[in-house]
Amino acid sequence: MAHEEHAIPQVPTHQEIASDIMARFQNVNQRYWSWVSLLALLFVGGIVGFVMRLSDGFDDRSNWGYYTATLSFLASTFLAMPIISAGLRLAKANWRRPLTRLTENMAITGVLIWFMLIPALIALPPTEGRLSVWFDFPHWMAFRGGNLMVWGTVVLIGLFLLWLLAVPDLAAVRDHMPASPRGKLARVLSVGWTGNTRQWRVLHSGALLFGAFYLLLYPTLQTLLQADFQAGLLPGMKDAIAPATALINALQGAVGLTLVVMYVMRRFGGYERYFGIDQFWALSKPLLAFSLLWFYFWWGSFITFWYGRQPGESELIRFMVLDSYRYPLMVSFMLNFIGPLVALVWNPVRRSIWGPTIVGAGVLVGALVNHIRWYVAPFSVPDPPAGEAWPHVLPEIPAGQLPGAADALIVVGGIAGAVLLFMLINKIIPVVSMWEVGEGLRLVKVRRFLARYAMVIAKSH
Amino acid sequence: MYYRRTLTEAQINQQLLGTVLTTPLWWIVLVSLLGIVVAGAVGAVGWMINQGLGVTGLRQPVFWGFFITNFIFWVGISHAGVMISAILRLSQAEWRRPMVRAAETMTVFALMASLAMPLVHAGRPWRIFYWVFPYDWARGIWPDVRSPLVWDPIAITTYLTSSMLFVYTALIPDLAIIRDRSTGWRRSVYGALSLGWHGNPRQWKIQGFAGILLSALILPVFVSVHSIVSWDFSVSLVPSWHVTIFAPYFVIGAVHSGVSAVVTLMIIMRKLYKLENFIWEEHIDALARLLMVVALAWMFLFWLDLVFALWLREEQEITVWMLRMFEPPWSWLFFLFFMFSFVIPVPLWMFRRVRRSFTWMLWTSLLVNFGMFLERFLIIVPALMRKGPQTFTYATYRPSPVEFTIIFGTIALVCFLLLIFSKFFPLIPLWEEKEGQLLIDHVKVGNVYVPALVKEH
Repeated sequence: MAHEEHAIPQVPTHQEIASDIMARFQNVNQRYWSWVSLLALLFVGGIVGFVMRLSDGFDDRSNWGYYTATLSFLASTFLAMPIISAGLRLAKANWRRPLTRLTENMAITGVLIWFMLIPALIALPPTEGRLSVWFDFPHWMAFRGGNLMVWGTVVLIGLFLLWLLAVPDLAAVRDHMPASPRGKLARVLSVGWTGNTRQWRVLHSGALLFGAFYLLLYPTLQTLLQADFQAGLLPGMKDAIAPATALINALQGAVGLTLVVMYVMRRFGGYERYFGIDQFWALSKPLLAFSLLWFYFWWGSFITFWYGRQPGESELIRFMVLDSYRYPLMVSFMLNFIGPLVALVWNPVRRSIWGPTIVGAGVLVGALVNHIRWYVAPFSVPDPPAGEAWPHVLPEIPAGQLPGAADALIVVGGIAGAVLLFMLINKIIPVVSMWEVGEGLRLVKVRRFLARYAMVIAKSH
Repeated sequence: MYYRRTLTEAQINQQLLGTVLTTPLWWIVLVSLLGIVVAGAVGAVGWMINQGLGVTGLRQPVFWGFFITNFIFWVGISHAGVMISAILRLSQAEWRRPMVRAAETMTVFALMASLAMPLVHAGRPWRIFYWVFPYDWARGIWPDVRSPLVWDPIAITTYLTSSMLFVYTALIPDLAIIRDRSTGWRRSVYGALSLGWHGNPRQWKIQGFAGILLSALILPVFVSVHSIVSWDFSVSLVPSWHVTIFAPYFVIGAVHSGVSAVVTLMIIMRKLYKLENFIWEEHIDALARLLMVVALAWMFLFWLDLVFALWLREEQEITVWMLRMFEPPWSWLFFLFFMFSFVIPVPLWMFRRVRRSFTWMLWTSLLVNFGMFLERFLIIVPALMRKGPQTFTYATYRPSPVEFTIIFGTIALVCFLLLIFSKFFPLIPLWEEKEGQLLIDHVKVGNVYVPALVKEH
């Protein structure tokens, strides 16, 4: 048997890591500005699309279907990303360290999402005479005010988490670039951080506490999104599983987006040593699990409606599954379930950079198409004649609605706006957490294990 | 910290094989007592078959009662094995090691108990014949394969078979150790069962691969079993049953009760078999953390079930929920269910001191399972009492002593089988413990030594 030599794994020092991340953070090159300009242009296009829709008013709700689909897509991918960092931190997964900041920085997109929510809420009909999770709660403020409050709280917690967990790195930026505008901003944001024991204790406790809040509140956001923007507009829709389905799909989208962003940062940002095979491999497993759950939740809903065969159920199946929106469903089925299952069941694919990235990109496309199905469809159902209560069965099945020019601008512009915000925040807060990666290095040592060298990773309580 | 007690391989063998190689008095007493209860239950079943289902509390319109509740309860408990073993194995959670075997074994015996229930419930067990063969030979009328009632036995027997395979695959290295310490016929039996295991690298490689493969393959079966049980309910049009959320709600509920049952089992095992060197506060703590997550997810789904039940404001749906929640005695049972399965245990588990107390964890895990039994009961009975506007007989359901005897008999049966198993096989896998010892280390952080694990580079 040939003797196999195993190299001793090299563990970098905290100093090396900090210097490297800081150097990349300081570097704002031409390519960065080109991308920022392009995204800004697309975002402006989105605003133009929005103004076009605004000029038509809110009377015809079907005009706002694609807008709402964009909103829900952003809320179910970008805004779901802090869950990854919060969840992995609670689970004490060591491999999370290089990617937590990336997911936390996405919380900044919550600002755009919250502002996008306002027109979508205005487009909704009042709750009088129709089914709503707000039941007989008086006045339109119930669902409009309630939504704004819940979404706003999620966004604020996400921003607070982003800031709290960035404070040590902001202090490093403050000390490294004292004269630059970014350094001055960091001075304000780092609130006198010196890294004493008490400050660290507050940071760790705060991260766990607010991370848990985020984890608990985000499902409520998805419940309201499904109930008010979908189920409440579809006569006969009694789908208790829908919010849970949306939550699972949001987690799948968040993992997919994390993988894609990691790949981009690797490829174009030079962050290869942080977003390595460990991160891709580890994230591909929950991606596979969420893909299986995608089917499981969809099937749980479908089989109940299919066997129920009540008039309301049959019409909804025809509308959302068999007739008007069957192609979006098929696309989503392939990209959110079949594709990930066929690809990620193989360990060599999971344990690669390209495999999870391609699957993640497919998941995002599938998620967008599925959100279009979920929200464009209910928005295309007309209101009942004035004075009549909302029916329990779809009176007639509307045709599938294709996007107009304004819709296309809104979809592209909305996504571009979110990416733009992410790119901007990355130049205020480093995209890789120096302190968290550094902390991880202190928990690692290399030791001889049988015939090879192995990493020993500490897991404290 | 994990693995604070380092044991040699000899010590592990000696301590874990104690019950296999010797027979303590308490074991004989306990097995005898449980055997009497099981015999009583068998007698009750015989009496019921002789007298007919009239000796139970089942009356028009409630024809699903304690037996079906108990069937769902044991299917739920059986979810612990895979939850603990397969998922934690795949996620390489180190703290799984002392509990996997007991959890997997409990799965097998719980499934056996659950499978017995539909037979008992049928009143005439030989009617199982018609689940497989035509109802009407002459015209070839077969059971409707589109019905989840037909899928149920298929899913459960698949789960039972794969669970037994799962237990057996993980047992092989330990069987070889017992073989090497036995004489006479026992040596022959263990020798045959251990399939010539010598622990060479190839065998370990295959064994490891089989464990991972079985873990991955059993997961869809695990999810499908309780989902199909839930579809027995949700594909019907009975108010409060015809809801889309039942499949994940049942699965999460099953995991909640199953993991709680593992906590109960681990604590009792630790006491009876003196396994203090293997089952520590940290293991129970980890299970309690897992339970908190599962309980919160379960509560989220319960809340969705309730909100969307009221969503359409249908009179019958509201009637059933009002019956469950506000009309005695169901309201009392509902209160107990809600308190026991969530309100009392979950806040308590937030305290580290409770999570690390064997006494607190024993009682809270027992509470959860009592609460979850009530939950299944409350799903079934009130809904059948008001299942349609044409239901004129608003009779209630009271389980009879015969039903109580049979229910207690199934609890005794599972405990009895676990005790018998422990006489012949170690309840904690020896090789898992030894592997765990091999992977432990410490890293010095500042002035503190933090427990650490080897990760292959």
